[in-house]
Amino acid sequence: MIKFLSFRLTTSLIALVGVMIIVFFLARLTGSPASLYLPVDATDAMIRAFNQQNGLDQPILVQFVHFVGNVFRLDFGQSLSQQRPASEAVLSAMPQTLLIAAIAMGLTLLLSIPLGTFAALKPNSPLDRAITFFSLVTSSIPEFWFALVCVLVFSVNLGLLPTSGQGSLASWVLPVATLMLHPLGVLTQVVRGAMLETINAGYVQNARARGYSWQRLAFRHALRNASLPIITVAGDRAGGMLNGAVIVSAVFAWPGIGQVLVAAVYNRDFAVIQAGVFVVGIAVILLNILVDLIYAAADPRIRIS
Amino acid sequence: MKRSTRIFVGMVVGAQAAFAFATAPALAADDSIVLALPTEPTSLDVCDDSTHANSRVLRGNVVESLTRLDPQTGAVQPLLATQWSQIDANNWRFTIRPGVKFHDGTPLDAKAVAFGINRAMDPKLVCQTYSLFTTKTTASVESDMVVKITTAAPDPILPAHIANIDLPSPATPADAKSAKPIGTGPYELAARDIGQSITLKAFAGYWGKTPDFAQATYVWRAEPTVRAGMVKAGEADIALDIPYDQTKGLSNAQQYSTNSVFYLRPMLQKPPLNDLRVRQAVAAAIDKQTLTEVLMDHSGSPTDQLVTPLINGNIPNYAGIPFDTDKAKSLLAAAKADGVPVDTPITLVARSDLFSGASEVDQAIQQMLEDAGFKVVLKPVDSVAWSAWARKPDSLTQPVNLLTSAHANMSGDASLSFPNFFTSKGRLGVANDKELDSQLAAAAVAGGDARTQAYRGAAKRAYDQEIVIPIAVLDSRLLTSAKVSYQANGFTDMELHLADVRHAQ
Repeated sequence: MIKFLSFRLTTSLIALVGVMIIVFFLARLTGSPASLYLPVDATDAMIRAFNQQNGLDQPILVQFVHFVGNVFRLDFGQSLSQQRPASEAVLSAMPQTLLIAAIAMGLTLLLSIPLGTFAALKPNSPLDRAITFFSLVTSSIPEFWFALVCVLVFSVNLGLLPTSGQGSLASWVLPVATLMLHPLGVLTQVVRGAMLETINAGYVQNARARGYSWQRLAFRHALRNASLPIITVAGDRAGGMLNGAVIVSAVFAWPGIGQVLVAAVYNRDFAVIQAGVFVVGIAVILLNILVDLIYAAADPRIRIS
Repeated sequence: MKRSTRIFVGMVVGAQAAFAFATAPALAADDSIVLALPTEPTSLDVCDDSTHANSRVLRGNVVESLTRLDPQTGAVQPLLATQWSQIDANNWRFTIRPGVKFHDGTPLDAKAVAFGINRAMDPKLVCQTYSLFTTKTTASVESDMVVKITTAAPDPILPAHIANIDLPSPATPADAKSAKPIGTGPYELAARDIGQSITLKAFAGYWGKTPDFAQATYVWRAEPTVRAGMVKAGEADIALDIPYDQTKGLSNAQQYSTNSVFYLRPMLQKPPLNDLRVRQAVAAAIDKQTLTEVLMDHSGSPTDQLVTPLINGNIPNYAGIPFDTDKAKSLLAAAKADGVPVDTPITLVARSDLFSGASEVDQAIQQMLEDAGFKVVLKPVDSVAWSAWARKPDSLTQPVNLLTSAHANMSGDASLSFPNFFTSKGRLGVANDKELDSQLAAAAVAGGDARTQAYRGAAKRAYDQEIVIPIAVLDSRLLTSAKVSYQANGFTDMELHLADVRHAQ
């Protein structure tokens, strides 16, 4: 197992290095920050001075060598727009992202597993059709539209929840609901499909014939055997949440990594883009390793292989 | 009632109470206000407050300048200077207002004023206000409360120009930007949560009238529906840049001019746009009335000039080429008959972030031009990509194009507009007209009515040559809560003075 994890960690880090190199050069293809940070009628001398102060006057390969050297010291440079170290800008936002992603994914699993299981226990019944309809709707609604409608309904018209920002407990409700929207629909469908396949297996039918209740069979025995595709999809969706939750940032001004990264792209804040990609990349690698460990816990055959 | 039922009812009531407590909107206290703005400042340094995002928070609130301009007339008014006089063509004397203190307790004197001006004019600091001055400007101390300002070339409207330099405390680093602005304004910086908010609190030692509200918090919300929703839900007291559909029928909405003009700049150096008839055809092909009424959704009104009536270069009752597709076609046909390659594809470099709905307007312009017989390739760009098409030297080597842009001038004077767009040395200009260059050079050193007439004459020549093709003056809207009273003016988009926000009666 340790050998396997070492291999996964090594290949993931190689992928991260590749991503960092691509991001470094792609970011610079989007144009000079001087166009944003200086007035449109700035003089050549102003542009030269700006580029010199921010190390942008060097050839791009020299900039890259400096960047690589600094990354080994975990120094991503100074944020242009935030006027503080880029690593500080990113790391200060990461806890908010981890927390909201954990809450959203936790609630998604709490809802999707029973919904998918009940739908699978009575296939083609009115309950199954209602749950399938619900899951298709939630996985199809555009998140941006959903978020704005929620603001208009629950904040402006009903006055129940804050429109945006992060303050009271209530300010978490709409961002979490928006983050859950698509994963809830998709996971409910995945659970339903996996459970349908499992409960039709011989050992389940045999146990049923011996008098076990469906609920006991489903949640104690079948669910564990059906868990591999659920873990796979949940891991993938959790990675998406870590990647930034851009819509939650744009609509609700949620102070997570998504907001920091979106602002950094708009502001041509290369240092923050690079630091953000690095930190999110590390988080995704750790999440994938966690998923591997959960696989192993769920299915002993994986441990042995 | 059964025990289990009572427990269930108790749990429901308890849950409702907890939910109500948790979800109660965080309403601002009576002596504080919340402002929802679209963008966060990119710099809090005093010398960078010439852009909208920065100046909305800083200018007139945290920091002040020697003079200020009247938002209605553009007239120069005293602020931190009580009076001024011109010593000779290149030198001015300003008397400093007594009894003024910076937020750190340092008194305002001639030394502090000279420090602030010279710091902003230091090219190594790369201040955004620096480019507003076309001639080298320095300040020196004459006496404790008198400062002398010297310009390398005569600047007849220096008192107006100097309104662009806000003064920081002498404790501000001279050779580095500062994220902690210390000024003399009615509010001082209390807290900043980067990406989320900036809080200002009233400065107890302010020299002027105490503002109505002890605290003001700015929050950044990119989505206009959310900004409007914050005022409607009682979470904010002022929200800026709200689309018309969010304010329709609301008595607490105000529409105001941003003094910003949306225009097209033809690439004059290359065919076919180097031919005047072709440029006139572009002007005749564009139906400004339809663009503003239908697509800009009450956010603009047609114009034929680059500057609004607030600026001295605005020509009263000037009318450009009216919309007439047939006329555009005949102009193109005449040019073609003389061998002008009118079939050359023209790139419409369209900056989508100029105003809400700009992309639709750009597409409509493309269609109108094609209806008149042009071949137009639409190229949507963001502000950074746009810069390479707009600014010299890159702009001169680009393929033939029509560039969309917007220009705001609130200084009252055309010197911050015309030289940049119309002269051969102008950073954003592509014209090369020696006569126009000399007209504008003469206007720059003229004063009073002669200056106004000189700028109007230059503007007429530039418009007649279609060096720029103005389309619309942009309007914006704000929403206010029932708690506050605020009257929007021509400067609101750039300077939202918190001292002008009063308790509603």
